[in-house]
Amino acid sequence: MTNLHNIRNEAEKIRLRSAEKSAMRASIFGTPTPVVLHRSSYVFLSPRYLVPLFVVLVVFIGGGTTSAAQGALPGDLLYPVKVSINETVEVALAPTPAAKAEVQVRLAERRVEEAQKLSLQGRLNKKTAKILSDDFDEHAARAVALAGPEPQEQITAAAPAEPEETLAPAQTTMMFQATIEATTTEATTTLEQEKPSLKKSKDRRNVLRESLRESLRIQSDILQELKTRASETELQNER
Amino acid sequence: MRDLEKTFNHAFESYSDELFRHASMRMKDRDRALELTQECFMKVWEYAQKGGEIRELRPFLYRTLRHLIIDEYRRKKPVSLEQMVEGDGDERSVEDLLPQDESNTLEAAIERFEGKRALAALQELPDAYREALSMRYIDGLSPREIGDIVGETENSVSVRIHRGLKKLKELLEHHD
Repeated sequence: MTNLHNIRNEAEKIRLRSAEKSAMRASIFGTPTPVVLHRSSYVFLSPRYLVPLFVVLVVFIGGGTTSAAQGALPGDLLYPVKVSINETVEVALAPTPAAKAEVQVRLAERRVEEAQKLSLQGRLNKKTAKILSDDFDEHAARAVALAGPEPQEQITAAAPAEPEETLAPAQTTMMFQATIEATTTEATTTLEQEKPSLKKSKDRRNVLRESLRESLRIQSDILQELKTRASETELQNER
Repeated sequence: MRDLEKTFNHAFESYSDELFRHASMRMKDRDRALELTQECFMKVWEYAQKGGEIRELRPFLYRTLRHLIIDEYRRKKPVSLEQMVEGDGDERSVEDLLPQDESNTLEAAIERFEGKRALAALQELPDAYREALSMRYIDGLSPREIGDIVGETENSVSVRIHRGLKKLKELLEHHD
């Protein structure tokens, strides 16, 4: 119906950068939604991290594949590497159940981001949308399970890691990235969230779980919408 | 309240890019376009929180953005207001008699140019044409929807689009 594709295609390139978008979202809604869980910037300094960090650095410097895979989208050659190696490692390296839950949420969010990117590039079809949303559900379910049904005191390292998660290196890549992301969008909120974190960990877990649920709900809605849009365009293209 | 925020969150996800794009077409300055987009969402969100009635979010957002842009023009350069209304009105009846497909011919002529150049030329047009053409061809709104947003009849919007296309084509061919 609409013509002038030359102009339209060119104008499509004008869009908000993701940092701009999250900053804007933050100033409109007060806090950034989707809610981002607390992440301390000094986490690297704990001895728990230093050893794997060292191992991982070696691998990171040597193995470019896993870091190159980081930006891959479904349909890209490196996407399976990203999902099956990088992300498994990411979960495995999280020390506590709470941290694992955070990682799971992050992975779920990443599926939504991928869907959005694909949709913007017009590459999101029914099949990919299905794969992404299944994967999203899986991560979301795990995150909720890890967050636990009842408020509990800090669970110690006695909690066993999930069997299929093998501990492999190469994870710092993501940690670095997470920190970078964190500095851009959460710079303001970290400050706010740090205060409650000083309170009892019980309170914090409650807050954490609540914001986690909320975040997943919103993300899931967005994904759902993208999915519908993808199948609509597919229908139109068939005609 | 929750529902409202959710709806608005969706609206932000879905429309922020296109509104920003529209603002960018009207403002030379990227930062200013960014600020206006944000202000637009904030205003509408505030309004919605106070219980204001919004039937359809997308046109409402466009209308709000439009007011902000007009304010901006008024503040910055009062001269361009004359440009904004330039030439509209007197020839309207003649334009109405034009064959429907002349717009298509114009579109086809413009389509031959490279996108980058055509977009740059579009940005040189007086704002009234720039507004109408961006809404029509970049934001993909129908003349009727545009009419609702700018508070004019579908007919006068069509006329403006047609005239804008003509100017755009002249501009492009002139540069050749």
